[in-house]
Amino acid sequence: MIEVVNLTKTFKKVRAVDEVNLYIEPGEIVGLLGPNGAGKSTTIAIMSTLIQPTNGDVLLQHKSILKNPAALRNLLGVVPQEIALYDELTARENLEFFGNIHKIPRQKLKERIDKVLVQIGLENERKKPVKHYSGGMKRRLNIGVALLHEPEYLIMDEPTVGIDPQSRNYILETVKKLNKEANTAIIYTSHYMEEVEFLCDRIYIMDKGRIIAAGTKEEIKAILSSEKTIVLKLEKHSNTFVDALMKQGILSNIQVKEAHISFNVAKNTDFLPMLLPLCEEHNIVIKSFHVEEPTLEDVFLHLTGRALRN
Amino acid sequence: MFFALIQKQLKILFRSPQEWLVLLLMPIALITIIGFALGSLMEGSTEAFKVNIAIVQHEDEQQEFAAFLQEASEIIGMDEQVQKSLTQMMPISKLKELLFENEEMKQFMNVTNIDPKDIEKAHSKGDYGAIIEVPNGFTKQFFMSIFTEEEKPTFKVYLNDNKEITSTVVKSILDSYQYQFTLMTELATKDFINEDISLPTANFSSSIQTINQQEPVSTSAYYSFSMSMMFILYWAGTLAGQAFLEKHFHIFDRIILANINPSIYLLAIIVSTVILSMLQMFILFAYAHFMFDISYDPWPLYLIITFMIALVVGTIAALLSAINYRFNSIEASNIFGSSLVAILALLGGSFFNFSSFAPAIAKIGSWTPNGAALQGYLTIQQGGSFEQITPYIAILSILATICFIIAFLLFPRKGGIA
Repeated sequence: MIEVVNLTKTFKKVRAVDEVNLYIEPGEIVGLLGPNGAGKSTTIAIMSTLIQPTNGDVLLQHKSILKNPAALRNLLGVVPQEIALYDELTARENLEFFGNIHKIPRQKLKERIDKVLVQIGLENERKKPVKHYSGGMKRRLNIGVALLHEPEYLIMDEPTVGIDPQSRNYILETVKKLNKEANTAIIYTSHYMEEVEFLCDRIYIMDKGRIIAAGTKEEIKAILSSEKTIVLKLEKHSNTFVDALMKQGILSNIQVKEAHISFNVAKNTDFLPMLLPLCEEHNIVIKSFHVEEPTLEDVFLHLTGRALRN
Repeated sequence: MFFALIQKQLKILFRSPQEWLVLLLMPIALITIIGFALGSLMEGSTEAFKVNIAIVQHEDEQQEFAAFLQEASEIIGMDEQVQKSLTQMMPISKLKELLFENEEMKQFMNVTNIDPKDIEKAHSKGDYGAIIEVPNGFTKQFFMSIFTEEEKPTFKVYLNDNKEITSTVVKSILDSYQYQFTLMTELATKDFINEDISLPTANFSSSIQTINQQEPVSTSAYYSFSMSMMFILYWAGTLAGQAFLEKHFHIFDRIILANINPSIYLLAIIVSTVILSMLQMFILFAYAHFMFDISYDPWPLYLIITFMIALVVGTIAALLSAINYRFNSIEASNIFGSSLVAILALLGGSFFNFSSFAPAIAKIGSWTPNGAALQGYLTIQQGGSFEQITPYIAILSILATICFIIAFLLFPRKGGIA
């Protein structure tokens, strides 16, 4: 198990990571969700032994790795947000180089390269220089490099940034498969709520350097369990109707997107007797109406008052 | 693992045609251009510098001299001793002697006697850099002008404007000739002339030797070495730039995560630079050998200097990488490649020979890595021994040690959190 205890990192006067506590157990996928600048990358850079924390500790099997990072590094694979590859080399040459610096024996490295190329779906492109790859292919190889030495823990920092939906799905499926087949524990950071929701067993939500929520998907959504989300689709948008809704006081998190209006309301509140007369008063025709379970996006909005992808 | 770091570096650079264009084709082009442009002029090969001169003589010198003696004896009287002295001053004979018979002059002059009726043809063909036309009565008038108030004779010299160097050379020769005759004329008029005094012919006989009695270095050899020494320096900036990109794209993080000690990484930069620099030198020297017949004997001495300069360049690459990493900017290698190399090349004698510098500048130049190596190569070219190149090896060793120490002090030795 890797544990992060009271981790703090200050850059000059900016506190990028503030008293963060988290852990990951073998075989689980943990999501670190937060907007850009939340402190996710700094947190995982410290966990990866690449940055010294200002305060706090990182423990591997309850032992600090700050003085002996090699122990953790041997078990760790890191997929950085950047494409950390040599453009002039082919996929195979990149894998050979990174395998060699991990001191993987020659024969085993050959086998691992063949296996990883299949895992990331680049077995037919292995002789092509990386500079001729698409963005999605580079991202896949970026992941492949981190898998070569069969790490027990894999840290992935926004591995799907800037790629097409097809490549994104491929990567998500690969991560899921890797966890299932090799029992690799994965820390997955993203500001895409749906990725984290799809992959992760447990989730940490970060904002402004702090963990603001933690738990399983269900536990986090339960933060909003006292409320329900109502989504209305109107025939046409009306500012006066929205203003009238806001004045009711029993609704929260009112979001308006053209003719769609969503809001939260306490679970036991019967809001229809309030809504229907308002519609009649403002000549509003409701085209559809449904009640939704809260999403992680709703939770983040609830906790910070801001959308996740600002 | 160490070998993997070096192998990767070599592969990347072998696949970067732009780097090779700068680091190999440019010095080859410069060595070729400078070697051919300056080589034949400065290294004593006179084929490209052969001066063609024609002499057209309208008179018979002996007949003219006889006519002078007859006339002069009637006017001023002429004893036998003076007559003998004057035979030493036959102007056209002396000119021909100067041009035709001097061994040194023969090396760069073709002097041809042409018939007066062919003079127009010679003018129109333009083959001659200069045509000296001696008019009828020149000799007689020349001697008469010494003893009487008669006007001094002139001969015509046609210089070919298209052959500027030839024209300059001919002018110089004729100026010298004219000066000597004027001197003799003055001596004659002051009655200093006698049988024992004769017109001195220019003594061009000389031997070219270097100050230290060593073999001279040809221009093409000088510039082959000096250009090579300039372009070897570019490897430092190139490799340091590559190293910074590895940091920028987090490849260095992956290297650290593989538990590679940063010192090993820095050492790999040095070794890669040494290999690439030496390879560059071997190619350039091989090219110079085939192009200009430059020989490298004894080759072990060349190998020592080449290894030492490559080592210095390697440590400079490490130093620049350390600065880039320390300040998280590629500026150090950019400034080195864009400005410092040119300054070092200038001080180190890549553009001008050390001998043209003021002593203080030459001293500074000899402490530049390229300058020290260049002097080492030139010493070997001049037949120098290992002992004679020891000071340059010492300078290169000192420079390599200084760069190495500073690089290792500046480079984030721990890398990551360990």
